[in-house]
Amino acid sequence: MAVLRTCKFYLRSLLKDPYYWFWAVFFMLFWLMMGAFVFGSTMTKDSLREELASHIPSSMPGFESILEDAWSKTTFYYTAGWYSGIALYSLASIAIGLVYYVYYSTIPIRYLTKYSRASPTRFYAGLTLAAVTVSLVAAGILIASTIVMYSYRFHELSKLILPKNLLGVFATTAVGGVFTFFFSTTLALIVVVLRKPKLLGMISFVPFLLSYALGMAGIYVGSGLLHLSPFNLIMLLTYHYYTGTPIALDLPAIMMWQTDPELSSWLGTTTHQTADPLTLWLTLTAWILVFVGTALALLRVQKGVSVEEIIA
Amino acid sequence: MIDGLDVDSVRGLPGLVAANLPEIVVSSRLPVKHVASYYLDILGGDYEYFRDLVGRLGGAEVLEKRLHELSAGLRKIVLNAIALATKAKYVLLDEPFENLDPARRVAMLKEILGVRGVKVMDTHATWLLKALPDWDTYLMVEGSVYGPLKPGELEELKVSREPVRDVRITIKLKTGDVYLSKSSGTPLTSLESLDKLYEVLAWRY
Repeated sequence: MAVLRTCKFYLRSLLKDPYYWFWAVFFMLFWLMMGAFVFGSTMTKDSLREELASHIPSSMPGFESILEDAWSKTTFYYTAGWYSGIALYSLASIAIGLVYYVYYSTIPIRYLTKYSRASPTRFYAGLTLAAVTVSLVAAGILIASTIVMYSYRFHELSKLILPKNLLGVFATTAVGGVFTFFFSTTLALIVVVLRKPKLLGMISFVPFLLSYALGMAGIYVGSGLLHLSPFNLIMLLTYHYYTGTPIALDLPAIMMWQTDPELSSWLGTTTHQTADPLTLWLTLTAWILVFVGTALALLRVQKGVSVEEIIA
Repeated sequence: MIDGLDVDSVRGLPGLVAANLPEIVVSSRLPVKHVASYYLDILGGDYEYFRDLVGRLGGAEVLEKRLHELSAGLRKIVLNAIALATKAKYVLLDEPFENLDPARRVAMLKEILGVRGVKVMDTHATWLLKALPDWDTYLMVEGSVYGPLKPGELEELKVSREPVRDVRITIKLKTGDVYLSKSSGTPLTSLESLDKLYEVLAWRY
């Protein structure tokens, strides 16, 4: 009861926050539009035809059929790539707000967890649930928008570019939301423990900066250990469930379409060692536990932030 | 310690303590009614009493505004109302009459007196002495606590820098001792607020 009540209160608070709607939803919709209509403007069936013709003679019977399949797959992987990145950045935007929420709640939380039905575990469970729910709301809007926008851009809505495993995509968002919450809580508590409120603005942007830097690196140049950062794990799992293709940790995300058996047989690409998604889930879970533990340790030593410190 | 419990170890114990401090209320974009509803729900309080009290003392429109949008007086009314509506065993009230106009002060005092539980109130207002004859009163000066006294007794006391024979309380200040007695000095009740005590001491002595 206390868990759900706390969740309802913070959920209402977060959903009424215009910064959430702007940064986590509308700003992301802007970038999705950029991906579809600006960055993807040179992606046309004709350009693909030329590319394919350099590998397979265009006079070969079945060429047009292969071209159709290749166009479907190219637009599918392009869409999945864009959505995966945007899903990560949306979570990072939510994280900025969560840092502020947790920071300004340190004294109320101490009071409520002492003198109300909401014990610390129940309180934080409610707060986590609220964070996960707003993440899912944003993800729902973004994924629906992605499907419509990219299907219109590449197929004029004659065919919908749908995720292969929508439940997996949402599950990744939910767990990503849990990571986001505890990472934000840790950052907010660091500011509280250091007693330096002036650092709050800079610290709150750490999730956003890390998501962009590590996300972009993982998309274009990274491989190996980079893919095991929590931000890259969220992105890779989202991509995996959107596309249904295996994850190769030795490739940057932009090249992971090569693990598609059909595409790699057409284009003669090298085979890659793929990773079991369970390994990625376990690694992400480990990251969450690290930040849960850190947040708990910081909670024990923090003394809250007084009104005077906040005003100063 | 509260009722034999170490305050630091208290967890998930509704109905023990309530307070009217602004720091304990979550900073939120939600209107007062949602914040109070949440608080009183998990604190085990009475939201209808809160709504009625705020409506009478501040107006129904207060419930639709956010806490930071309210004037200092209305904010104090809301915080007091949350504390009182919690129906806790111990209600801590920090300057509950600050920024309230005289009519609201009287109304608020009536509400405070009407609530059950042990009320601990800190205030500089001396007009309360007559209204609370049965309360135990303590003086807090420079971090030290003196008392208890009954308000009626406190009303009769005078403050002096000079030692007196019938001294009731000796207050140790950094600048020297101050004596409260019935026989000589400035009557405490002549001071509108105990804040003025320092001004009196600096001026006279």
